Amino acid sequence: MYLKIQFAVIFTLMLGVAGFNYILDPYGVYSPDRTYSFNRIKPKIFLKERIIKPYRVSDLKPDTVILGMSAAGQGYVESHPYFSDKSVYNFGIAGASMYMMYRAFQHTMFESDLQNVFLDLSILAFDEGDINVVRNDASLANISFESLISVNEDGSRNWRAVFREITQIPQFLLSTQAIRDSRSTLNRQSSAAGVYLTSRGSWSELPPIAEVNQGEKFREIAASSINRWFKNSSSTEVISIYREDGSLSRAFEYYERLLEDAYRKNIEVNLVLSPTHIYFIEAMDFLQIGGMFTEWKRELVKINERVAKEYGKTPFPVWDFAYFSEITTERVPPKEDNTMRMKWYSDPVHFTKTTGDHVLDQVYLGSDGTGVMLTSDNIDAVLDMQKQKKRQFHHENPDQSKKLKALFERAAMTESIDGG
Amino acid sequence: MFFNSHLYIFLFLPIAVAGFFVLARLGGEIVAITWLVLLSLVFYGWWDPIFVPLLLGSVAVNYLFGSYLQTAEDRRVAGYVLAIGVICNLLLLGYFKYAGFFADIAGNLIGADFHVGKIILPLGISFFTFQQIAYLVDSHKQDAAPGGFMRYCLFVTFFPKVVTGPIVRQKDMMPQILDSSIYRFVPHNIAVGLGIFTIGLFKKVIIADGLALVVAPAFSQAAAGHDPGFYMSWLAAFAYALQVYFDFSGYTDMAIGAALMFGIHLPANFYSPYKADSITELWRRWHMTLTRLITEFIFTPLSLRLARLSLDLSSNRWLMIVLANVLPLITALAVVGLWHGAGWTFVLFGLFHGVLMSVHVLWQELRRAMGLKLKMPTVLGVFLTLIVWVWGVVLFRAPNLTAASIMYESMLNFSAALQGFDAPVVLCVGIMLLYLLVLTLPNTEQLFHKYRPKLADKSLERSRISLTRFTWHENSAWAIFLGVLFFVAVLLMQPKVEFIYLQF
Repeated sequence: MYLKIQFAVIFTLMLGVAGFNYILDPYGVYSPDRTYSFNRIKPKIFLKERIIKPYRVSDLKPDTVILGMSAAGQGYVESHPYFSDKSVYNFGIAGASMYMMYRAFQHTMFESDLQNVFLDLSILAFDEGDINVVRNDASLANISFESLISVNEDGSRNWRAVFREITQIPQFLLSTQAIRDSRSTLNRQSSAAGVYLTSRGSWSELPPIAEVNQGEKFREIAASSINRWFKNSSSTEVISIYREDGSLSRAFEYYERLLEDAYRKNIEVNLVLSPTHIYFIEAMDFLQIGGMFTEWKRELVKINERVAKEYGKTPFPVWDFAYFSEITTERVPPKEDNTMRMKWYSDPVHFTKTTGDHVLDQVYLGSDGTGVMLTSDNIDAVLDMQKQKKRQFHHENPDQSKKLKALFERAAMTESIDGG
Repeated sequence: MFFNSHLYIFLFLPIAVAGFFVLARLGGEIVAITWLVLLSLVFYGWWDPIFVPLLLGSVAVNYLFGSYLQTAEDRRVAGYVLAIGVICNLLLLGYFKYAGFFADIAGNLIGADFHVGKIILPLGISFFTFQQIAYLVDSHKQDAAPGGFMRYCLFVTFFPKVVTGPIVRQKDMMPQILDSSIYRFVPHNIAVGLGIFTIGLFKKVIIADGLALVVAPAFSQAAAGHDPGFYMSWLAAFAYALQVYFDFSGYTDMAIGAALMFGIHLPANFYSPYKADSITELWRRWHMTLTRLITEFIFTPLSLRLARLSLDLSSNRWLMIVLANVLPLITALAVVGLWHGAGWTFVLFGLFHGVLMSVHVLWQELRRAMGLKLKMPTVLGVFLTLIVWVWGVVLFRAPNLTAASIMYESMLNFSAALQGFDAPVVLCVGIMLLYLLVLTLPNTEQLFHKYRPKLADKSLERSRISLTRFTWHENSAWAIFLGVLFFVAVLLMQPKVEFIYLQF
């Protein structure tokens, strides 16, 4: 009788809490395809992205996957015409390193009959200093990304992932954090600004907030980027694609391994250098890593062609959108204009779905666009052309360049003061 | 796999218990034992399967040594075999746990660089090595219980205690494994076991993990070379003393509770140590299974030898006390310190307590010699004991001597204390309330004393607290109370937060 009462108490309480969290589903794990008026906006999903996505890939078994960082997660949508006859999943993850992208690729390859990969690349993912950060990342949800990936790095089965339903899901149902996040979900439905993950992994468009000066916010993010995005999280060093001995960062090894697997298994890959706004490129120049940026491009092309040759295949196309183009030079709203909204960008790294569609149109549908295909034969000419476009922009917009430099200088100064 | 994980609580443990009784019924005792051994190896290998062969190798070698020792007729040869067996165990432990530490010391002494690469410490190596050394000694004394290889495997690898104890003697556990009554399902054992397990889980998840948040900032500051401040350093030290107690005693409760579900009684490891009114008594109540082992294998033999030596040298009473008590005490406590970790902080922690206990012994002798009837009031004794314990645990927590010295400097910086109280009042009140609970509430052993035959020191049972109102009973009120406690603990469980003693 004693045990019956005790178990009844435990299970009743647990069922109550689990049921509440299951229905509210604050992380979109249990009913991602159905959203109700009480849980459509999921304000807490952002922190759980890297946990939810492996689950979803296991469920959906997509034949096409989008890999990349948060820019990919926000910018590319499954509704693009090219994906209409495909089962696509956007596996873009905020802050993902190349290592993490490779693991996401491995996971998808294991879980489904993967045919097509769209890889959105940013130099931030190639930083040597942050290469290992995600390996032990328990901070976001007490759950390590690694334990959810179906295969180990060497390709063998990750047996711990077999139990992930049991080991991880209780975190979504039976934790005080889940209760708090469910309550937050319930309370935030009436809010105008909210984000949620679609059932196919992309982020819902961030609704513009009225009376907020987008330009100011944009510049603020650009300024802080020199202290945040371009400094690796394990130290305050500026990011580097090189190791201490001068050799390329380990991120390139994961890039190469991804390509090897894809060539070997006849998986089609499109490599896209993310269409970041020129403020991002200017920030790199300010930090004197602009040269590293062009080297990064060269290495990506070189490795791709070398691996293709090893496997006797035609190299995957490398599309470069990361230069001074009509899109990336989009004018940032002036300080005094609170109504102007940018067409192509929400901040210097995160582009809108319009930009995403522009990229997808060119890559998959062959439309005209700002992307330039890079090969070892044309890379010198293309980089020269890009340099020329940059010079031309500076020449035509001398004030903007000057102001931007001053902005970065102020931000650097603030950092050095804050830092002690 | 952690005790405080969903996987363990909702899958591993229930399957282990159910499988054990079903297999015992269907296939007999040896099948049930095999099942438990296999699951114990899965449990152990969950962290890193690479060390499972090491554990099994250690089990097999010790079993062979033990089997020989139990039947050896030539005592002289048996003595040599025992020595070899003990040395093998110590070498294994020494390699994995102390190689780097001693290489550093040797290097510093002779000015050479003996760099030992990074050696990963296998989980529970200190625990299973000490248990097996005790087994060899007992076998040599013909005091071990025979039981066969699989039963011996279970004795060493039994998952509730394989990584963090309590340290069990083979002669205490083997008779239980041989007892056919444990293979019959007894709901009462589940009720008591689950009750003890729940209390342990609550101690760990709610109290210890909560305290960690108070402790970490001050010690991190000290580790980074910054002064945490007078009040914050004291607060962190007091909080850590509670954290380590709740963490380890919580783990022990969970181990004892889980073992009891299989009908196996593990020895008590804690008996309200912070209610002790002297440091000597505190050590009799703290990590009791380790201190008993160290007393038996280090303190007592050393004390006897030195007592004989002192008698040979002179009849001076004080020399006798120093040789027979003080030196063995300091040595034994230094070993206790070193057992916890290969670092100077641990050695100093042990030596500090050795010296304190020696002072206590000398004071008792002085009182006796001078015929003083003076006795410290219990409350004052408890308070002073707590203060010195809190002082000592700083060494236990600090990552190195530099950090410890910064903490001590902060704790002694009375001029900073005069500049104003800067610790969060809520935290201070919370810590004080927790101490009040620790000092007034009965411990788990007392709560369940009617239902759990203990393998503990009977003398500890004289408690100053009335037990009548706070003992566990198999009734609805306790079922509901513990059910709610379990639910709350599970809800707040953070599976990645390790137990402190796992590192030892």
